[in-house]
Amino acid sequence: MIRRELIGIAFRNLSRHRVKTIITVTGVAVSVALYIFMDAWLLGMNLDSKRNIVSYEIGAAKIQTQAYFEKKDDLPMYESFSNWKPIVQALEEGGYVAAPRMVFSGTLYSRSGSAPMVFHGVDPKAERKVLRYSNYLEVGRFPQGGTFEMAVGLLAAEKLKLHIPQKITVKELEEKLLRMALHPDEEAFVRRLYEHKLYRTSGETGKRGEGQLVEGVYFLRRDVSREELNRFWDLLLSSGENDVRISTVIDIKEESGKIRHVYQVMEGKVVGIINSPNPKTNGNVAYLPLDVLSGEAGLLLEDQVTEILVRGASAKDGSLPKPDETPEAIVESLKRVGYSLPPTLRVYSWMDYVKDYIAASRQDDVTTRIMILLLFILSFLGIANTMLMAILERTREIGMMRALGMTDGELILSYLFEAGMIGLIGGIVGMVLGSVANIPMVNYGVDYSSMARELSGDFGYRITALFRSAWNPGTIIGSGIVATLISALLSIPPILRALKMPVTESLRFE
Amino acid sequence: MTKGTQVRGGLVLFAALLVTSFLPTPGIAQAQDSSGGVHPGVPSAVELLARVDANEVYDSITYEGEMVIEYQGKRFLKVFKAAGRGNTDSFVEFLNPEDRGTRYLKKEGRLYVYSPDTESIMLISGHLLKESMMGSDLSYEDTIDNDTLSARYTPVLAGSEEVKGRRSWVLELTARKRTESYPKRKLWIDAGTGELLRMEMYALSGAKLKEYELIRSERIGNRYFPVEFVMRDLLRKDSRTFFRMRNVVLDARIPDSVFSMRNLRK
Repeated sequence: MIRRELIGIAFRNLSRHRVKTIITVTGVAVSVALYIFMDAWLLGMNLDSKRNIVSYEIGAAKIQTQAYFEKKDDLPMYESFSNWKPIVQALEEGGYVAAPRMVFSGTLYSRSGSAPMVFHGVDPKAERKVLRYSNYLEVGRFPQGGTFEMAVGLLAAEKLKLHIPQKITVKELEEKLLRMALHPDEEAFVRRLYEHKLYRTSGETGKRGEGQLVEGVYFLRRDVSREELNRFWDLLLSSGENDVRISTVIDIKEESGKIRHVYQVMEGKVVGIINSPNPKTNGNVAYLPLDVLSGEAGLLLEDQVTEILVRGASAKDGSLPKPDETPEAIVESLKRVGYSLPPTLRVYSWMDYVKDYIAASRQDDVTTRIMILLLFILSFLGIANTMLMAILERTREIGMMRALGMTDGELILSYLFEAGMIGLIGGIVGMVLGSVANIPMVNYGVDYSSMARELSGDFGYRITALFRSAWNPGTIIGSGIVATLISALLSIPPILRALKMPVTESLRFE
Repeated sequence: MTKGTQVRGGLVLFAALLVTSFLPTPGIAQAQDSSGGVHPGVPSAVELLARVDANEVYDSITYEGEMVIEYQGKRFLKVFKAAGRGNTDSFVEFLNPEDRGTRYLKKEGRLYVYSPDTESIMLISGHLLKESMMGSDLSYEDTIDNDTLSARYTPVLAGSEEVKGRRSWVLELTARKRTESYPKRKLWIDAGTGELLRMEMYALSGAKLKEYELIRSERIGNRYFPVEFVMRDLLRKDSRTFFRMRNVVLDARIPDSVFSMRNLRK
């Protein structure tokens, strides 16, 4: 009963000082809303990044030699290992899918230029079982075993002009694209794919559209179907436009331990362009069949690979690795089927390979939380100031209430309720605002594709286009509770100070 | 001729490879061609290659050099001074304004570069060794070759051809070990002077990677020493590097301090 009266007093006090209440509530609401918004954004980016790393880049774990892992940034192919087939077999018996790889660096030369690349020699069938990037072909197909075919990342393809041009000059159309047409039907087909746009150069005044009408450029029509694109792509392939050369160095470790480098050039053909949700697969990377890399035409491989990717056979697309996909669980599983890894080999978790992402994530997390913390401190200083002023203004009133028999505990409680209500109202408003702002961020996200392209997709996070937020109910509810509690607690020091004053002095306080 | 006294001047760039003897051809007795047939009056492939190697032997070299790099319509001039000694020691300091202070030291088979911009020394190793040196058609790997061709390749006489009006023997070299940088080479050697007129270097797959062509050689002591040549990296579009050497001094004493880390950092 007494508490209800105290709550009533607190409400009346809030309405008596309406302006101060509104300003303070607004401060708390903005802080809470921003915290919820930023937390959801970071959570969304991190969740998507982790899923994309596991689904498109690494899998749940990798098996490598310890020596390779320690120098993995240098891609030391001389630290590879052989006899990997029994390992893959044992993994499959233990309930995993596995994909062997030979990773090496080199330069890819097209007719238009060159680009440094990381090449992945892969078993196309096994690769599809572990990773999903091959489902995201912008155009073309994934390479087939036994051929020097390769799929390259979209950014590399654009740089090397290995893609279907979106925009092309009249001269380029006539000299490059139409020349590859073998008969009039094909020429007409290519012409149909593009629409010609004339434009005027800027005139003497510098305004657009005042100058001469120039020949213009051809733009790929927006309504071109997938079938038409694939037919056009096949034309490009058959004309040799996508023929490329890989220049690399084969690193061989001699018995003396000295590393020797043998120059190698391999002829190949780009048959597909990858544009997956993970920017690492869309940059300067290429995937080609592992089997063609053996022998003198390839990398002199004698059944060697640099890594085996591992994922749970029953793992769902887009899910993060489960406890049975940890390195320890994989090793145990191999033992259960009677296989022990050679002492030089280790199983490493996917998290051991993404230090760039973890660093970017941690840095963003810390920076954002510090900023939000400062905002919180500012708004709570506002609450503390409001309560201090309120208590100072009401010193005589406090003295009178004490003289009338109100205990110190009841007074402290009434001010705790008052400050707590400011926090509660601000928290609820903030929770609503933050959640409302989150709805479009969760459902649609923000398109950062242009920024990602500027940075060649290499900005730590493994997201190509849409940065989406994720709901975090714990943070939403928790931030409201924390705002209420901190607000209430901030009223204690000024009320204790007022209660130290004798009642007679309080009544005379001006 | 012991291995220890041979000099292939690492950063003397390809000079050491290219030095040829002015002496009259000694090995014209009989030779085996690629089909195994013996031909009197034709030098053997092994002898021809040994002559090329023999012409590379010197104790030390100092010279002033310049590289003119022509790349996709642009022209870059690099001026430097260089010193080389033994199989493993060489030192190059660039003097042109853009690269002034950049220094390379090859010591005990390892190649270091000092950058005046960062005031730091970096070891060139691994894949960096195949990168172009100073934007030229020469790779770092090219510059640290330090063994004779005879020790590394099995030669086969592939015939004779005229190169710029000069009669030459054509040698095809196949690497003895699978770890050789260029598994195959093709050499055109002047039949009279033994100068290396042309050379082609091939990748493991047989793709041609680089071409060397002699422009001018000078008679120094008892050698015809190549002082001007052009190198083409065939993977680089529209690219070639002209290499010129001046004031070449062979077999003079060079202080140890030249080939020191302190000199690299000075």
